[in-house]
Amino acid sequence: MAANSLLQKYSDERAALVQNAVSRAAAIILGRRRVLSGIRWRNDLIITAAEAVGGLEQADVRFDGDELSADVIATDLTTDIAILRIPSTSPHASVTTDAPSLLRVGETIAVVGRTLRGPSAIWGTVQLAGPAWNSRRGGKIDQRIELDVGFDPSFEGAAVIDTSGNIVAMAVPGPYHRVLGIPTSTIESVVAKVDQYGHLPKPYIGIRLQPLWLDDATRSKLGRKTRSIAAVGGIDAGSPAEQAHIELGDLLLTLDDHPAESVNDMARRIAGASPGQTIALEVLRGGKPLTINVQIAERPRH
Amino acid sequence: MSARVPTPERQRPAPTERGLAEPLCRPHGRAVSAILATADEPFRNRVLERLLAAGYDDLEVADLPTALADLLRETKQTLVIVGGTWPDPQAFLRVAVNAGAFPLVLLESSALEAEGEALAMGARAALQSDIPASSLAAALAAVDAGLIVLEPSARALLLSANRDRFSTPERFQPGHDAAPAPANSATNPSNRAVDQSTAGLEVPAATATRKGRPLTSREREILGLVASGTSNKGIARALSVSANTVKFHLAAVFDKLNAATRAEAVAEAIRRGELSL
Repeated sequence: MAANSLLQKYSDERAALVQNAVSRAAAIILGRRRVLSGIRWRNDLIITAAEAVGGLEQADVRFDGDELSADVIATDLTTDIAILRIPSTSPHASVTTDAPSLLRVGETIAVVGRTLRGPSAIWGTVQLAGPAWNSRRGGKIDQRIELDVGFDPSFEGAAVIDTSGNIVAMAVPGPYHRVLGIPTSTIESVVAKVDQYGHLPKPYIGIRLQPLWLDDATRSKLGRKTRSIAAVGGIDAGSPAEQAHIELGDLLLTLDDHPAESVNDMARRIAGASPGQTIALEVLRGGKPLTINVQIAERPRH
Repeated sequence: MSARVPTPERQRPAPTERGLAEPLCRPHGRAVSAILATADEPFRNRVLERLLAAGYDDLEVADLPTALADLLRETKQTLVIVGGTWPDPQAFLRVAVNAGAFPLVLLESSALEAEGEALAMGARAALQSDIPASSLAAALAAVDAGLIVLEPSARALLLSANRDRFSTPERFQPGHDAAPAPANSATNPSNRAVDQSTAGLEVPAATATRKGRPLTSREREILGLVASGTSNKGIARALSVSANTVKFHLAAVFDKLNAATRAEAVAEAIRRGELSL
């Protein structure tokens, strides 16, 4: 077979694309037992999967040759994005986000990670490319991406590159053994918040909710589709909810004109909001609807 | 599946000085101080608490025999603690013995028969699960050194074992390879329970599960900080407690909320009205 056969060129090109991304692939050492991958986002920031990082404050990060100690500066469980800071050494251009923003189903991608034994890569296909979605934890994710790749735990947090070599997502494990891609633009918006505040503020209004089951008569009287309604079961002292005079026993009807379907739904909507933003809660109090504006604050960190 | 115990910051000193080569060995020769293998969560939490108190803080937990088998394949660990209400630990014990590990059995009842069975199956120790932390640590060290550990009350067992050898030979044989035997064979767990109760030995009632129980105010406080994105160390600083204490509380929280991850725990606590939005 000639050295410049199509197959040879195909292989060379694939290897070159991966090689290009390897300089951004980090191995995140969480302890003696767990090593996952990460993406060198900027010269001082590493992105990896929040779920794996858990409650850690520091982790060792290994690149080609050097190993650095990184501080975990933010973990966002709603989008599964963790941000680690390393002492900035060699200048490293930021990951560019002006790449074609949406992946197409069927597109060829590679997942590029790093283990302690060296960089690792695997090619695969975009199995599903859907619209923006909200994670079960309330994270707003710019595109639903499912990847058809052979995945092992060391690829958690690894970079997903397209055939132009752009980093388009971070690979994380999803439910039912799916491999999800968290799009670059979603990562960028979390990074921007951390740049702004120095940490990642979590939205908080200070109410505890409990579901109340509705019988058919009450349900039709309230004109609701769902079988349950969220009732305010507690209000934190000094919280935005207290300041806005939300009261115990208020039944939540809508949030910004969206029907508040359940406690989960409310949790998702509030988790997807930002501190500083004002939301309109329509509640049922004493049988009468009432609209209350609440300014979302940051969840206390101490 | 195997559940991971939150890794404590303080790591036990490595048995040998590996120097610079050590990080390279990290993912493979995983050094954990012991494996706790049980499907019984209340039991697991009680024992975990005492193991942490005894300084065994780098533990793995296996909640299924298959998970234990996997763990034993990937670690060099020989210390395996199995336990709960006999005969539940039998399957774990069998896996540990087959893998060449040194299993230590903690029993929930003071049935000498169960102790005898455990030892006959290859357990290196058969002790009561309410053993104090210091004695548990001593027992683990002795088992690790290759010794067999018994409680003083087991002296009677040794004596009766000799008697029984002549009268009921099948009694101390492992459950799975005992010959099919008459009506009240010791191979059938339900029959065994009947045997014990008729023999006047106490069979403990099923231990109340922790699932569905409300969180304590401390647990709620800690989970609130988890929800704010605070690290375990940060939580420890905020509450002026040790990081191990935080991990212990979190293990209880995860257990009560039936959660495997921090995000799941937060979501479930919100759903139950235990954590504010």
